[in-house]
Amino acid sequence: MRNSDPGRLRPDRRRKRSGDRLGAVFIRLSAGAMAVNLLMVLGLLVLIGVKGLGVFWPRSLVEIRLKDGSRIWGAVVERETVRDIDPGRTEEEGGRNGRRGFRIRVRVANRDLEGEEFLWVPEEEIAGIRVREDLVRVERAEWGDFLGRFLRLEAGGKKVTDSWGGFRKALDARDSVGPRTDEGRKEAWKAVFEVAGGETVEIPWEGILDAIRPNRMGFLEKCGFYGNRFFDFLVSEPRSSNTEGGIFPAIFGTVLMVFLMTIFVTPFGVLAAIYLREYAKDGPFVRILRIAINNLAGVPSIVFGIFGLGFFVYTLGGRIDSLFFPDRLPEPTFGTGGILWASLTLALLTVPVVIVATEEGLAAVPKSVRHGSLALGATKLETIWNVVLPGAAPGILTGVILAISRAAGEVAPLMIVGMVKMAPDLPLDGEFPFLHPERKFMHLGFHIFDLGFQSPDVEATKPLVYATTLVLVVLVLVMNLGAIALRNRLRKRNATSSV
Amino acid sequence: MKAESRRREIPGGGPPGTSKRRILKDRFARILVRLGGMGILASLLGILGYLCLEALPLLSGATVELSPSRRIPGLGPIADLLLGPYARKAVVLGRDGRIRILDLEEGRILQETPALRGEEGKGRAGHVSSGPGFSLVLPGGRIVLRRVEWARRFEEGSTKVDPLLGEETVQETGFERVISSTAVFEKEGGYAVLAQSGTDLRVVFLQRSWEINPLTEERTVRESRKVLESTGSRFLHLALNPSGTHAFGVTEDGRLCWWDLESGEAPRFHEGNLKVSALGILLGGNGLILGGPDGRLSEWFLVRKAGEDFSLLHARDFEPVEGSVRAIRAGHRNRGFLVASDTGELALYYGTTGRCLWRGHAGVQRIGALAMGPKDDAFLAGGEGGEIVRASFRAEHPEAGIGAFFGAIRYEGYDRPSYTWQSTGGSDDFEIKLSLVPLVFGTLKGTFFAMLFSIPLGILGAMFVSQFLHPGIRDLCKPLIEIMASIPSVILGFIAAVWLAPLVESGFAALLAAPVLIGILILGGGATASLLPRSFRRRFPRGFEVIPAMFLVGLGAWFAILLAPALEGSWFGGDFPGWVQETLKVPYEQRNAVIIALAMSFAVIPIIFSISEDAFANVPRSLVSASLALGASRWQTVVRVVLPTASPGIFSAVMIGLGRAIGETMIVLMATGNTPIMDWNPFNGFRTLSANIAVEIPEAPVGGTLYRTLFLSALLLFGLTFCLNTAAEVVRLRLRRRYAEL
Amino acid sequence: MQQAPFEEPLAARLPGSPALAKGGGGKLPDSGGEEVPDKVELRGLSLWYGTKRALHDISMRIPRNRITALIGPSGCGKSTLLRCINRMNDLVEDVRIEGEVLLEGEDIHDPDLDVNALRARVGMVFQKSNPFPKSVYENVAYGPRIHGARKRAVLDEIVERSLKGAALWEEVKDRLHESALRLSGGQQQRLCIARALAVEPEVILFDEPCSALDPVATGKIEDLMRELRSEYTMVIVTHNMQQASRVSDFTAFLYMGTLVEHSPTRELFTRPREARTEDYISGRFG
Repeated sequence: MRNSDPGRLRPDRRRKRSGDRLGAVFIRLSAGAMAVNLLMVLGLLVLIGVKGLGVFWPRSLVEIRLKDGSRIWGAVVERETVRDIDPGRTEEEGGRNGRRGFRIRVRVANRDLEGEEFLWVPEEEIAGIRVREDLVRVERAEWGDFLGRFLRLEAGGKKVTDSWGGFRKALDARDSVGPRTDEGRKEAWKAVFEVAGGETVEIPWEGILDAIRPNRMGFLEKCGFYGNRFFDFLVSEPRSSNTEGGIFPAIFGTVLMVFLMTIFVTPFGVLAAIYLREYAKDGPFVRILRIAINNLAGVPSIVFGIFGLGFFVYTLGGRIDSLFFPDRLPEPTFGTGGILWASLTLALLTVPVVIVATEEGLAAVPKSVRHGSLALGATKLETIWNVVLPGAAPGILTGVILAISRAAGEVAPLMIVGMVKMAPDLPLDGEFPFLHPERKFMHLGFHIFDLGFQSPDVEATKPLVYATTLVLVVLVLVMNLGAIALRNRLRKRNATSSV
Repeated sequence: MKAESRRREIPGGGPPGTSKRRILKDRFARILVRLGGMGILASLLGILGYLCLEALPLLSGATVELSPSRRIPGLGPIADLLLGPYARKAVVLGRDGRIRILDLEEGRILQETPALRGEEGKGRAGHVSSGPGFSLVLPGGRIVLRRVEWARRFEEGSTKVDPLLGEETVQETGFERVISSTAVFEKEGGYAVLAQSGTDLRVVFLQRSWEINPLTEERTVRESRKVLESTGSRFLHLALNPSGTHAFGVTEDGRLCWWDLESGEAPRFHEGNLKVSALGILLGGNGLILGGPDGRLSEWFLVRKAGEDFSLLHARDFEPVEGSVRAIRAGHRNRGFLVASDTGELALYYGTTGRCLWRGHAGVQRIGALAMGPKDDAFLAGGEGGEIVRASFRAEHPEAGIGAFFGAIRYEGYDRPSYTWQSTGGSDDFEIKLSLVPLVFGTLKGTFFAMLFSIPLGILGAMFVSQFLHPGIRDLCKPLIEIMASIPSVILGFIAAVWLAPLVESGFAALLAAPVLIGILILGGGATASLLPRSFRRRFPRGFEVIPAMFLVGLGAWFAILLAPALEGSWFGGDFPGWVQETLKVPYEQRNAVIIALAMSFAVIPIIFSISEDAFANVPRSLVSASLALGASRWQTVVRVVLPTASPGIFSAVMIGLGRAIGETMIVLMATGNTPIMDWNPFNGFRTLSANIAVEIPEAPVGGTLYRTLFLSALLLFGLTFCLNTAAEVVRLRLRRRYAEL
Repeated sequence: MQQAPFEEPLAARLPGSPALAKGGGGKLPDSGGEEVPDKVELRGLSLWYGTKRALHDISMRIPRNRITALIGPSGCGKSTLLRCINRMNDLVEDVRIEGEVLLEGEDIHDPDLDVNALRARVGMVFQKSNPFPKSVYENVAYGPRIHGARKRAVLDEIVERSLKGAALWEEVKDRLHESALRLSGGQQQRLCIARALAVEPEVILFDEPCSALDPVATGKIEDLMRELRSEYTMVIVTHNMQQASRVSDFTAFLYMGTLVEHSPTRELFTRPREARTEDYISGRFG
């Protein structure tokens, strides 16, 4: 409200009130907006946490009896509403009639027998559900998990044991000896199980990785199993075209790529920041440089990707190939996507992050300290090296951490400059020259994309994707929180030292 | 003096003065650091330059190297021509009915043979619509067909190419006299002939094909003969498409007609008075090129409008040539074609885009025949006086061009001009469609819906945090938003596609009801709070509104989810997607723009939030205090003082947010159907420029048109974000200066 | 480098200060009448910040092994003048300097002259103590290190000597490897002096060294300066006239970028020749 009329110095109290009240409404609405933002983040984090953490928890196995008399063994995964469709019409023809029902999704495993990992069971067809303690979940080397009831362990057709305890003991004994070949045994061992349909199924002894009865496990036992599984997930190789097993190569590839990127990006970013803060004189050039940095930060990552593909891979890599590896042509060595090109591309992408953070760090070093050093006869380089950079170290570190976190999650540019769904060899191994910068590699972010969207059985791999997602989010989160904490400390120091 | 004696000794025994090494090091560091600074600019310019470099060849036309015309001794008037690989050898059908093999490098005839032994000097050349071979119309209604293949052999480290003349095939038409004919040589070895009788003007369609049994290697010949319904008109020109399913003709009185040869129905005419002096059929057999005696060129093809039958459509006109069009020869690899006129002018065109790639003069007045090299890298023009003009040309990206990328184009089979992106097709005769417009549209659509959601949330949130929020929680809120910014977009895309999309599909009503419910709850909650006793209110200092608000938002969302089935039942007949399809008459896709808006807001809100929060927080405290001291309320101060002062910062926040939304790749790649359609329907998918690059680049051959087009779209993205970011930065710099003055 | 030409008596060449030339009433605190050779000489020194002229044609001589105080109201250019002596003004953008600054007769603006070596010869102590965020030891050893001292024993010795020279040794000898930032304000300032001493300069410039210190710490610094007087030539900028009269041998009064008066301290404070000087020291302005 404006009181430009000098004759009315007293503001109109009534109007002020109403303005205030309207204002309060808006303040509340803006609080609501902020609340929505916060809930969005928290919700997403909780969702990823729950979905990702739940993957390895041994769910209890149930027996579902249907009204037609058949039975299903499996773990109930989710429940959803279904829309009823008029008989005789399809959904596309607009056959939905607005009625809703529910159905549950049951993980029946036994992919080789059922053809499907999951079954949808409409609730109206269910006669009863009960938990059966004797159901066994077998992890197999092939075909995913198996669910059934343990009958006996046979050796060459002769019974070895028919008790679960005996079976477990045999398994543990085998595992404690380590991987053993069959040579010691004359007859092939196999375990015989009963499945829900009543048939018996034989699983060769070697095909069994582990077997548990989740319904008999106590909470602690489940926790132990869970921790074990999660650890396995982190350190083992993927199996069955990525749909099972772990994500170790992806973690390794990500770490190595990020490491290489850090080597490129840190000096470049720090030099540029030092130039801007310590050497450049304020003027149009610096202004242009700042615009360039902002643009570099704002250019879509896919543009970096296509640039990396064209420039690094085809132009530079092609040149290197024709100069140094002409004997291998036309099979490209460097002229194809690889970890070196990927890390260079990402270094370009993340350099603004490092610059901005380093500049903040440099700004935190007070001028008087620089003058103190210069007044002692130190050169500019000595001053920067001995006094300024140590003071700016937290800022640089912040920048590098943020760059790493960005690179760990960035997928779009990497998709086209060097990632593959399954890398046969790690880019770092015992073979000379140990680091193979031309090799393709796996990456956590791309692994998520690939598993979630390009795998042959998306439904079956979904849990693994959630688990991978969780790993990536935790990684990124930890790094960002660390960077934020570091930066806040720096800012505090900055604020106190500039007083 | 004492001072004198020690002044050059640096304590600790260092060398006197600043050693040269120190100075050199300092100087070196200065250079290195400056290089680092320049490196940033160089990177940006390098990226820009490289993208331009890759995209620029798209706009170039064709470069043609025309060698001067030469007369080859012994070569008479030329009726038809075929050019071999590497443009080294050619086969000529003379007007005298003899076939001659030419060595173009040495300029002599290597071999000469009559088209049909024993009947030399008779007959005249017939039109060949496509395929490698000659046809010769002999008296008595006979047509000779000779196929020409090219054999390669390696000799002394180089490839030699020799023409192989196929056997002489005499096809009886059953007519006494053939006045006009055309032939097609099929890839597998068969042929088809269309001929009109000179006596009763009937038209006959003859087809002969071979099938070789892979086991017995027995050859079975299939022949068919179809006399088409008479039209009573004389045809000046006839043409067949390569698959032998359609035939076209131009009558004496200038009418264009076409037959559906499979149904055998009567020909259909396109009325009009067309003056046609030459006819050609483009690769794929759909596009028909008519050349007129006035030099005009036009393309026609068959289209089927909704609910109608096929009809011939005049698709486009080309830049006319000088003089009368004498010959038209289509390219073997794309929709390009070569035209020759009777003034000796030669021109290269591209069918789809209507672009003229090159024009030049052969140096020979009367050109009777044209031939295109099998790789579309050379052509040959034969004069009526037996002159030969050879040319090598390069048209790397004939299908590209400003018109192809941004103009509406009538593609083959399309009844109206359209913007279409279709970069790869199943078959050879696929017409590449490279309009970037649907991709730009998709980008804008995704951005629009994302911003619709993100701008209010981001700015209001920032305003609240910087102006009203208690500093104690502020330090908690801001890192949370930063974490939001750091969540990798691949995760957002995955969650959006796999978790959110099905959820929204089944509970869209909840999504609609939630904002309303949340609004009501927050306002109601606020009103209730102001009714509470003052002593109670005092315990909750101002600035903690966000905590009850979070509770209320959660409550509202929960209510919305509870209410959703009932709402959906009463508003949308219990089935929202079905309702959209039936009532709004638009398709509902599970992965649609609404999902994108929600998922992308995770990426965009933090950007808008942090930049505008910065702008708000940097408004000098003194201004705020001054306003408050005048008796303005908190809200009034914010709206009248803080907001106007911070508005340039908010502008740059929105710009940078826009830039992020435009460039976002993974979310749109995963959570839309990536269908390049142009439709504002929010329940539909779309394809953005960025996702398009990700989808197509693995399939694009390096240096090819698609590859370069993708670089062009990257350049477009770069340009868009460059403008946005530069605008934002300039505004921000100005704002910073203004704050410094305040 | 040769010894500065020892010419006519210092005061004789000071503009408008015949009293100093004679050494008459204005006796120097320690050695009345003794003629002191110059350490630094300014000849027609003018300085511009951009287009703004900060120093106007200043000529003065700074005698060896004496303490010269620069006084004047704030903004009169005394700090600027001080920073001309070790070329710290080079760090400011858009600075233009005319005239000469001679250190032992050598022009310090000579393009062949090594600025870093100059600054090693002309040390500086700043208004606000600015220890490096390192240990006490490292702070003192910093200068010798960059000038090439490597041996631990040598460094130890320098550090001890410098700290003793700055009268700080007793207070910090047990915490040499603690962060310098933990020292008190006065200790930090003495540490900065020790740091300056460690490179064994010939001249030490003090830019209001006590403005941020309490009287006790100030007293310690002043005592220290008097002790160092026998070894070093010192120039101190201060806005505190008592301090100038307590510690300095000579005092120069600057006003609006011009040198108004330069005399032995006692003379300047008791019998100023210029009215403006008198106004200033009697507190009528400033």
